Amino acid sequence: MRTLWVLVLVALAVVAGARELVVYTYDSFVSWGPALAIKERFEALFPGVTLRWVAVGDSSEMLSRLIAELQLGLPTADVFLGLADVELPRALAHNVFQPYDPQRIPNLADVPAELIFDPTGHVLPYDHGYVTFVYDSELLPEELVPQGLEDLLRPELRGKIIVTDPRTSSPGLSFLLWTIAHFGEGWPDYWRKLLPNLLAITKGWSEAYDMFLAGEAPIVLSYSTDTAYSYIEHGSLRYRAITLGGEAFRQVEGMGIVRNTKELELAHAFLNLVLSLEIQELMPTTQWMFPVNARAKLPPGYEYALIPEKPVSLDPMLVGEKLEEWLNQWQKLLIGG
Amino acid sequence: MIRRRGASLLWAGLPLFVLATAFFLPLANVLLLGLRLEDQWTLARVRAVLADPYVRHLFSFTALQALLSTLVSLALGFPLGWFLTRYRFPGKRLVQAFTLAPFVLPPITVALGFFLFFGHTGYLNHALQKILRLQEPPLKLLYSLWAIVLAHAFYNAPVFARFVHAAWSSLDPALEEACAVLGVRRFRAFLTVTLPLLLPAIFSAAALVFVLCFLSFAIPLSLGGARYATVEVGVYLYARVYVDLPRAAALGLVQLLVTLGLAYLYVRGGGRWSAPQERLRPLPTLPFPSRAAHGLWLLWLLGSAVLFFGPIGSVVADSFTRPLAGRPAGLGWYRFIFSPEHNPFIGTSPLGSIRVSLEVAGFSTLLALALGLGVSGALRVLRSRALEALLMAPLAVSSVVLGLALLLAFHRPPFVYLSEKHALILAHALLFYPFVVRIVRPIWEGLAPGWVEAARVLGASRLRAFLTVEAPLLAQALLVAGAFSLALSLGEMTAAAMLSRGELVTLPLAIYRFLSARRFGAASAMASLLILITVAAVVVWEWLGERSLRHGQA
Amino acid sequence: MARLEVENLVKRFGPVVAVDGVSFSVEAGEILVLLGPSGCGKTTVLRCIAGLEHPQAGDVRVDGRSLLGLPPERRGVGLVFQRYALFPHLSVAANVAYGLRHGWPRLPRAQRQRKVAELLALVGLSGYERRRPHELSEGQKQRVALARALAVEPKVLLLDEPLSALDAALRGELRHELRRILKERNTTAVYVTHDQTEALALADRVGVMRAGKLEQVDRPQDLYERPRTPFVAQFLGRANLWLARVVRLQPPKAWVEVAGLTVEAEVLAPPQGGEALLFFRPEWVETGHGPFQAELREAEYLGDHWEVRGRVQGLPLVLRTPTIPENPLSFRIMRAFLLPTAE
Repeated sequence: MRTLWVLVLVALAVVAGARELVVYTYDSFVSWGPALAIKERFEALFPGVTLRWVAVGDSSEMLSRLIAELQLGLPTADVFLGLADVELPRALAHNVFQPYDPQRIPNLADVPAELIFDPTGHVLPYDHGYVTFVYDSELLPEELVPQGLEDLLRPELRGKIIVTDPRTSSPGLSFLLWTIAHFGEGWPDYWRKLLPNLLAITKGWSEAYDMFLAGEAPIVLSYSTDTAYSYIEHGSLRYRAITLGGEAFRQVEGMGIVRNTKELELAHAFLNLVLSLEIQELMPTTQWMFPVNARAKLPPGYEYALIPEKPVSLDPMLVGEKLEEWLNQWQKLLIGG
Repeated sequence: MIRRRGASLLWAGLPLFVLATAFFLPLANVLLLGLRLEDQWTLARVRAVLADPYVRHLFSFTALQALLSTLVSLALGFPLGWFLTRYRFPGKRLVQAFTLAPFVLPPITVALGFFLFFGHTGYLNHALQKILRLQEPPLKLLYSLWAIVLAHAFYNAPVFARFVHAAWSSLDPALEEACAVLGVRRFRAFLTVTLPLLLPAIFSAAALVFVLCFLSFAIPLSLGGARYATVEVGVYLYARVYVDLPRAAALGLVQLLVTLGLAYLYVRGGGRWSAPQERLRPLPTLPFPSRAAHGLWLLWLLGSAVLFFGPIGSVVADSFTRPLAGRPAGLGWYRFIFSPEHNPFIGTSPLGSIRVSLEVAGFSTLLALALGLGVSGALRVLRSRALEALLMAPLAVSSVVLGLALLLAFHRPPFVYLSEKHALILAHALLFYPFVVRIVRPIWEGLAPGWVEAARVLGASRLRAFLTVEAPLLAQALLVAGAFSLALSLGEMTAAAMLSRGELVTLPLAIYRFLSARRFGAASAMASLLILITVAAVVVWEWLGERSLRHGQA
Repeated sequence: MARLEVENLVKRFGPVVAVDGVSFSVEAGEILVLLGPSGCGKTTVLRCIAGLEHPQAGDVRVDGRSLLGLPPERRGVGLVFQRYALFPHLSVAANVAYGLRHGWPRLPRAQRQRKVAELLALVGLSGYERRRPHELSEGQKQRVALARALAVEPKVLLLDEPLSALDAALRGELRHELRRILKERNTTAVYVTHDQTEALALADRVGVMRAGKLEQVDRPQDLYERPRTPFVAQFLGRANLWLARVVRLQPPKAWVEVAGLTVEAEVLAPPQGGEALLFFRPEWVETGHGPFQAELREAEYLGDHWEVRGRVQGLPLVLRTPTIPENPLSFRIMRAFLLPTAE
């Protein structure tokens, strides 16, 4: 057995030499495909450089891993892509990123200022979307389709809504923040009345949407591009996204250069590439999010993707300050406190 | 003689302990964060965590659901163990292999299977509505405590079945015969002799199952929803959402105290039930079905088949029926996952995934068996139950804490020089070898030292004596341990996620990739493949093992 | 105590016939020992009587009533197992009391305790009530197993090689004690063993089994002195069996020719054809003179006599002689029997 142990250690393949840019992201960014296009493009631009995507888990899991690695002084990524805007305070507090140099990112000029959610200059947006509700037009009678947040409280909708947990999923957190932005101090009351109508508060979006597709409930918390998705992918308008009183919660996703990278030049080139027209025009049909590059054209079928009249958002810094308090309050509501 | 034996075991055990401490020390480091405050040792954090009423609620709910889950698992698993012990029927081995299938399924797939089958619009309610001509779905199981309990039973009843089966078939059949000739009827004999003798095994399995349910995270959240959160949710919240590692560690520590306490009971129980029994004959089995009274068994089997095969079958059915491009898919989703143009979804080909998973599972199982044997050997000399219980820590610790420990351990020398695949193999071996120790050690303890001494007097070296005498006698236990290890490795997620540098995509990771890409049908197809491969791997493993057993005896 | 009859018992395991038409009876208070090599089916006979195996044919009766339709727990038959089968989780007292507590009739606690004390005294284990089986020596376990089986007062007690796990000295001691206890309680018993000394010492009668068949049932001295088959002759004690030609047959006497000499023998079973086996025990000879000349190969001094082995014109021979043997040794056969060759 001792020999076995020695063998294992001797068998270590020590590979070194080639230059490499390591990017952490969440799994769907890779599985949907923009990652592959970016890799091809990037490696064509920089021969001899390998772009390596590491994507095991959702955005929050990957950020936690990055923070832990930095705290423990372990080698880690050069770039992180996929930071939800509300996570910005957490990332800044743990000093994950270094400021980018706008001079080295020419494509930044095409990004509207209102989408640049990080005033400190560490994180850049690459897409944005809207968290809202989607209903199944074959299961939900027309008159029950909610028009505003208050309509979700109707007794006819008892046990007919699926949302996700704000502690473990990003749309779930967005919805909690939406109600806080909308109702202010009164949000716990709203939730108290909403709870009986919730069939399930699932861990992640996948379970929630899968239940919804299986017909377990006619209304689910999801994204405003869902109608466009089912139209473009399946030619179906059965699942329809709605805004509530013209509102939906805005999510902007960002990327940044990790604090201790040695590949500063390549990292900036990467950010610039992601903001290029070519990559940005992939966002609608791969990420099912809107591009941040104002010149990017939307594909046919995207007329069904909703952009709310009144996008809702909260100042990330306020979120950073109050999040623990809000989640604590929300938890207590759940157990009837 | 004794001294020499100790020395040789030390030689075997030492490298193993070096390897293990390279992993156990980081684990301790992470946990001890919970006891440090500005370079001072303190219980302040633990106290603060426990003062939170929500955390207290989590603890009481977690304990409640774990208790209920354990009881229901026992109620379902005990008869299964009984059935496997008492009867023989065609396909018995396949059934035994299938009972390990739930072990490997990612929680998200189990959740899918559950709501496809037990959901308000699921197959079961659908069928009942048709049969009973009802307007409303009659079974409202899901989205409640009972859904969680049922899902935990789905995972853990096989643990009871395996433990009871192992303990029962090692009982001397003469004991029950003695009851009969003393004028005691079967049922009373069962209550007064068989059951008391099985109790240590049951107790031991119960402690293990309670620990597993206590640490469960995704199942309660996915099936019951946020209303049914466990302590692990608290750890997750502190570590992931608030990124407050010391606080997470403090809670993880309290959680570990509970589970390790139970692991200690488990170790004690395990040591007792497998104490050597004098046995001249194997327990006789009856062909099934062979009597009218077996009708009752058939009813029970039908019920458990519904619980076990319902959700698994639903996932498999889903992989064929879920519409693809607006039409029922048939084999479409399988073609989809095997077609090269969809490889980007998972970053590799499905065949690549299968190969990687099998390779990792196979090698890590062999390594875990070697490590487990070495440590069992060392424990034979050290004889410390507390140490043995501590070995169970990787199983008894929160997966969030475990993830951090793996991160810490595998990003430092010596492990950092390993390729991603080798790192995963080693990590799985380190995670699962305690299982091997658990299963092998009690049986090794039970072997008469005379056999080894005889071999050595006949001129065999200690190693040769082990290989030629003890190993064949331990082979059955090694087979069971290996089957568990294979299944656990095939379904493992925490280490795979933490050690990934983007190159390895195991089968469970591939399932998650498809899910996050909204390819639910493809995820079902992949999950069906995972089930198939696990069952096949376990069957092949046991078949190979038994073949070599027979060869060894010839 | 009761009378046990076993009639034409047949038990097959798949193609293997374990018990092939065995019949015998045991009188009330009698000890019958079934003796035979391992695998001869003797344990299966016991298990059929106890109801742990179901015979394909034949009958088992106690006091004339057939037991066959009854499950083991209603047969009133006790069994002492080979490795005792003590309940490891119960104390000695609880083991002994087990049948009284969980069987039928159920005795009240006080009576139970009295009975347990009485039985433990009988087997010499008073004071061991609270011990666990694993704290006992093999001999003590054996006594507990006996006490447990006797406690329910079975009509018939079966004992399956109860002494086989013990060392020789203990075996000898327990053998006598066992007989004392069984006789003291006037127990009808069937005792299975492969040890001939044990069989001869314990039994009122011995049945010798071979390959599923009962070859002969008789009192020990009859079995030794008048075996009816070559197998029985050989299995119990030492025997000389010489193939001989029958010269004259005049039952109960016969004359045969062997090694060129004519010998007179008693006929126990009529020989078939012209050949038969001449059987005599080593001690049934007179040495120092006589017509036979033996070439000796080895001699063993056994205290009160010598045992010698050799050949007489190629025929193997074992003899007992009180004096230092000379070589070659002349001897005369004082007593001999004729046994059939056919097995």
